[in-house]
Amino acid sequence: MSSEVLLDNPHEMGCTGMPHRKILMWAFLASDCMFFGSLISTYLVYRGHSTTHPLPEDIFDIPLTSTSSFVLLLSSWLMVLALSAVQKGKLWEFRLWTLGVAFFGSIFLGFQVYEFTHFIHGGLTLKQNLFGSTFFVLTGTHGCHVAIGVLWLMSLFFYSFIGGVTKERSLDVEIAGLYWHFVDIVWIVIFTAVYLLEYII
Amino acid sequence: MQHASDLDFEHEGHKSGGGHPSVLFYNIIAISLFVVTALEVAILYPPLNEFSMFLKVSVLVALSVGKFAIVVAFFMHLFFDAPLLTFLFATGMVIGTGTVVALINVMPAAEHPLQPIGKPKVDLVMPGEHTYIDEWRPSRTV
Repeated sequence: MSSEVLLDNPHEMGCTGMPHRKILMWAFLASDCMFFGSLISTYLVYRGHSTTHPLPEDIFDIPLTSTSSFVLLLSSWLMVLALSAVQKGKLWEFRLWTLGVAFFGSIFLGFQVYEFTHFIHGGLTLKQNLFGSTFFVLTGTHGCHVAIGVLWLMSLFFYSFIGGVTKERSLDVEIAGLYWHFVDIVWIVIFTAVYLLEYII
Repeated sequence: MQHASDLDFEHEGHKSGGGHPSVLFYNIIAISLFVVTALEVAILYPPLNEFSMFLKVSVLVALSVGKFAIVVAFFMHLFFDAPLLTFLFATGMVIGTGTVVALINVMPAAEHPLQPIGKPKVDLVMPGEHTYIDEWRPSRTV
């Protein structure tokens, strides 16, 4: 944290020696772990209890979901590059990478919208069976997180044009990056627990 | 309150006091994540038998945990940051994982209260009472 920010906001740092906002973000992410833990466990508990079609094996498209996983991983990579750029004061590079993260985040959302539409046309709705209820709630909640992340990153992108994002205030980008990477790791778990294991067990 | 130079060091987020990992380091991490994801998908396709099913599940879970740990440690800089943050996140992780394990064990499939269509528990209905059965709810008396 720079001295400039400290002078602006002397309460930014506490006795822990770390910015309050960073601690708060990690606490939020910890609570989100519990939130997604409950959603994933609900999906797993009700797995195999649906007696009406469509079932996962009828409609899952692993190549499509794998591609969207690659896209989200790619966006995570660009996010660390964006943070690295802003910490070095390379603002244009930061804007480029941030725009890339938001772009690939939007691509991921596009994949999800396509998948949901495809499933609904295939007869799977929120109320069709237990699989539909738990699947749409889990992946839909994750999709909402991605959408919020895209909006957050786009606001940082535009904020950088009016001097809101600087090397001295890179903590703002770091916190947004933490959120974005968390969205990525949640997808890593969902991709394995919901999609991949479905084909094996 | 800490001195500004100390805070710069904290914000840099390295125990060693050096700079952040280089772009090359991030690139290597990203490539390894892509490779692991491709490996996960490739594991699905060879033919199955009982032994390989167990093996596949084990490998998939291990790869997934590995990817999770790499992103948290390096992309989220937890490996370089203060232990307090690791403790904070680990608390949430333990409770979240505990929730998954506990719920799966508390609600086994055989004891599930929901009934599939066409298999109502008519023995729960007392003589003279009417019943209705929602598609996904237990049969109830009215």
